[in-house]
Amino acid sequence: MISTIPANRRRVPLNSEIEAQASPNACGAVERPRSKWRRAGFALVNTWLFIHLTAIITAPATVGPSSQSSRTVWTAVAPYLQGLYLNHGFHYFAPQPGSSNLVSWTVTRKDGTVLNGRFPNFDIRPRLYYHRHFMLSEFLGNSPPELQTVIVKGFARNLCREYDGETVTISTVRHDLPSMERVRAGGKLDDGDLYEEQPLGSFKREDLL
Amino acid sequence: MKNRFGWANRISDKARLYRWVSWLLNPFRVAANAWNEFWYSPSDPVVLALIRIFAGGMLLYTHVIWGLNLPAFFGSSGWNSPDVLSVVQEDGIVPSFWWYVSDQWLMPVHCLCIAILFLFWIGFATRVTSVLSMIITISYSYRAHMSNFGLDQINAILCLYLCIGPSGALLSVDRWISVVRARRKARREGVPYAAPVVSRSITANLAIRLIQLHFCVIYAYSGLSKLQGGAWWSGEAVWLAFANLEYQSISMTWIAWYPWISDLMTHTTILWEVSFAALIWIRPLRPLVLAMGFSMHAGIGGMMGMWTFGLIMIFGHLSFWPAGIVRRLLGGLPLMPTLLGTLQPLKQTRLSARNTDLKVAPALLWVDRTVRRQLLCLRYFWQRGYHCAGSRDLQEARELRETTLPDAVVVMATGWEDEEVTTFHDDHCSRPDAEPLFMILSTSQSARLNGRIHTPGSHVITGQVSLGSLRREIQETLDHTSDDQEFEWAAEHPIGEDS
Repeated sequence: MISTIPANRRRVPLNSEIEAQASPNACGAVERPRSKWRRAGFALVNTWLFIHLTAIITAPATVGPSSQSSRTVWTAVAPYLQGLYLNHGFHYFAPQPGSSNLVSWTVTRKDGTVLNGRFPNFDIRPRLYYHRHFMLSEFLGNSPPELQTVIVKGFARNLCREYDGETVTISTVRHDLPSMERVRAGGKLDDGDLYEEQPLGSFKREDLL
Repeated sequence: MKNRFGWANRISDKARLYRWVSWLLNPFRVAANAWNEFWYSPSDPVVLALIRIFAGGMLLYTHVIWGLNLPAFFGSSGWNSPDVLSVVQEDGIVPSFWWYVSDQWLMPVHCLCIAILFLFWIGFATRVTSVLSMIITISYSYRAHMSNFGLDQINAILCLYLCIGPSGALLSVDRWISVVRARRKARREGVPYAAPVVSRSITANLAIRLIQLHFCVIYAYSGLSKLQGGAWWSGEAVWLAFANLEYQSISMTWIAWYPWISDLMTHTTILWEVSFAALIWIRPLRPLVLAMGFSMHAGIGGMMGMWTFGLIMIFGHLSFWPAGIVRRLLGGLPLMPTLLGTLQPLKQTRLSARNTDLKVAPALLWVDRTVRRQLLCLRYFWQRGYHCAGSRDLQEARELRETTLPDAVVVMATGWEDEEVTTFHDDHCSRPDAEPLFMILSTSQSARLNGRIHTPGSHVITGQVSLGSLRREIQETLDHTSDDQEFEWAAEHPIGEDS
């Protein structure tokens, strides 16, 4: 089959000695007519992409210190971010790795038995389960004091339930990090003076229910 | 080389120069085409399926671990008791079905969730189980708010994107079921069995792109936020991380005697995280960037006891792996011929993708001896969204044709010997999958060659012709071809995949 272009389509000479020129009314590469619904769907997908990208870029930008503009944008996209659990800061080990927090507790049972514990501890296994407990103690230790009073009650209630206790005493323990010089001089990571305990309160079972 | 993006990347220096010129002349059109190409080019779902297997396994493991003490983490009197969370989570939107589950129903609901996550992992009814898995992941995360860390964030992110793409199209029970059905149908109808062909999918590409961009955001903020801390500048940060007994799984205190190791690791970590979002898009550097990421996350896993977090980040890195390499790596494993299937030939998918009206432009190979004319023509087609590669040599054009898989070939035949033109034409048209060939001849050349160039796949244009006419001719031919191919392919492979 030899295809030729009808004469009425020929305007500007292209081949041989005359150079090519662009057609002034040329349109895009794909000229197939689109249905109204397809166009709408395509526009919707693009709109969602724009909103989604804006949202995931804005969320970490609102972790302090942050600008008023980023907080304003975040307000608009917050329901979307929170609904899909995308509202994260990604500030891993930032601004710098710091001391860790532990929770120390004492439970007294009805019969007078006293139980002591601290979490996280390496007896908690597997490692992910250990890490869940570590995150609990970190959350408590890094919370502002007014929030700590609320959280510690929840912790006390759980300890009462788990160990059938009558009274629970809880404190948070900050474990500071040794310097290189200290380790070189013979210091250990678990030296006693690196731990600083701060009592958070004593709770009775009936007060917690 | 069969990737459109790759196609565009392998144009000659001259073509690359003109690409920049196109940007300057018509930035909005070029940007729109680049946007469409980035998000809506169909891709092999094998990478997404592999991520489903790894991330789905991690999801399952994560949730099994929650089950070790459900009352403590999800009970009304647990660590995360609702009255405490109501204060901690303030007025935020915290969707979770766990708010409506009483203590005595904790274990049955948890077992149901584990069953759904297992089905998602093995790829059964993946379109449904992926969405349910996302709901489960979000619900657990909000309910156990105070016990969460980075693992839960990445779990939710990957799960969301696995819902968007056909993550169960391959390496899944869904795939196995489709193969069994095709086999039964062939037996019933008495025709030879042909395994269902795997289609490239726009949503697979969309999901992969979203994972890639989200990981860029994660590393960018992770790196930039570290720059606020003095230890990341002084080189102590890695030491501080290793000196944290609660994170430690291997004693790394020996680094205290070699501070330069801490300095090196600290600075490398910062440089890698801050530059990831830029360097990962440079193809030659990508393996190096991923290898460094692998080392870093393996280190976090091995030395700081966060294997789960380290692994889930490495799983996310799979989104940057080329599908071809993943196929080759998996190809030798048992059952893979069934679970991987054969990928639908590129051209059919590419053209059928065009039928979805997503403006995936055709690719042209332009062969012309006259440099100035070639550049003007290429500019014309580039401005209209086409992908173009140019060549001044017929032999080079043959090689380019094999490597770039254009949709159509245009040859400005003036300037070449008649014999060269007919040889190129015959060679081109003798190929079984020959692209439409447009030969533009001068009047005298046409008279000489009359009768020697006439095959169904070639279009001979004689005399003067405008670029607009040529473009319409090419477009009409490609539209016609795509319809035929779509029809033939559908008739040949009635069991379709998501496209």
